[in-house]
Amino acid sequence: MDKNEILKRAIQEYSQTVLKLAYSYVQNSSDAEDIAQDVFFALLKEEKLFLTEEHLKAWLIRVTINKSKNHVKSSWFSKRNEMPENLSYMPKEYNEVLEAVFQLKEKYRLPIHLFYYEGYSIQEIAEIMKIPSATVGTRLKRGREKLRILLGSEDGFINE
Amino acid sequence: MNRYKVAMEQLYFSEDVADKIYLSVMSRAASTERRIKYWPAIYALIGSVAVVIICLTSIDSPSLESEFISEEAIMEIENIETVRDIQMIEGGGNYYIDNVVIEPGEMVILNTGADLQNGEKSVLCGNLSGENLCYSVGYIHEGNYNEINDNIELAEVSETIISNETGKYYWCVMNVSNTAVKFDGNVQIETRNLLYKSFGEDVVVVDGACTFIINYHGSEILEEIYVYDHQTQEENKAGYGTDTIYKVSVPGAYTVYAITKEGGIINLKAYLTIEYEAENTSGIISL
Repeated sequence: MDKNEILKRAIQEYSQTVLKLAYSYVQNSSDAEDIAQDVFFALLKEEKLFLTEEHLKAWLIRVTINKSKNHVKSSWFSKRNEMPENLSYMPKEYNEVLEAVFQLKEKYRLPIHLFYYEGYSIQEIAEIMKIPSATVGTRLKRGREKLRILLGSEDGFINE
Repeated sequence: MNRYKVAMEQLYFSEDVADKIYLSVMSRAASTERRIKYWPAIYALIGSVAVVIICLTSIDSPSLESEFISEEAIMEIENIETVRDIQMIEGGGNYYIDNVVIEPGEMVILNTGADLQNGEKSVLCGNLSGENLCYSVGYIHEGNYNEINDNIELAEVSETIISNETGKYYWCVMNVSNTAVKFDGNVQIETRNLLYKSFGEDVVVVDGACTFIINYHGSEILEEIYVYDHQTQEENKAGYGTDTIYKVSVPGAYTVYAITKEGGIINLKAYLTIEYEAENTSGIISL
């Protein structure tokens, strides 16, 4: 498969993963799309061979995290005073959950996103974030505690 | 399905977002190729500008260098802009440091120079003062930072590490407030020196890694078997029923007991065989 084919398939397969992870950092669709373009451009330039789908997905997630952090740190982004994106098309209960998660610090938000949205295990998150599993477990626990305070109960976060 | 996942799935991006991303990436790739012929000139210009910037920024750039952790690992820690290694002073078996001023965004790494053996405790105690006090505490082991507690606003700090492998453990205190804080503190290392202490006849004392083989043949019906570590004061479930194997990785004093079906507690020392690992054959030291 040539590079263009790999890129096309990766975008079809993982664009939602990349977009939503980026959105959790920037809380804005258009910035999330810019980050996704940067991530897939980096994939096009990447020389490394990905032996498995999981390897490719984990690489895309790591690059998305780095690009999102850089985007948030950029002076353009930090000086801009944009209103939060309107999510009124979404039922209130879900809107509240997203707002609560987005209020968390990155170290709690990222494990929560990877655990509850991507379905990764604690061990897999530890490998992606390059931190010990015990730290991931602690951050998940503390993140859930903070969400319990923000949402009134943890049920509001976990139970559908 | 959890509510966060449902909410994330409802986040709307335009239907043709994948096509837009693909076209944009391909267009950037094409324009990058066109720029290649101008690269020598661009490189020369960038090089000159970089030299000027490096000269200007190196005059007063914050230090992210430490003997104990890589710059990349430090950059992963939130809100840290500078790092400083501090050698603690030994006295009476403890390690001390006084009047250290920690600037906003600074992490101090406390070096005792001592090794912790597997299962030993290191206790950090201290006092911090400053306006808007807010700090985090963690430790570095094998070049990795591990957070223990963050955003602490109390003046007194007391945290404990129990090592799970022999090596160096460095306490870290990070000032995450917007004003400087002053820190006085000490580190105590508690060794697992249990072999000469009496814990009573019901306690098993072992001097190395070993396996407890529990084979109960009494009249009671056992529900669950537990092993209590007198050093860490931790209780671990060893198993169910009458036959159980439990691995002990560190020397120490342990009580092995079971909860019976009737809710009673019985000590299982009489039904215990201890097998030491090959390199340690000194056996049980009875007290």
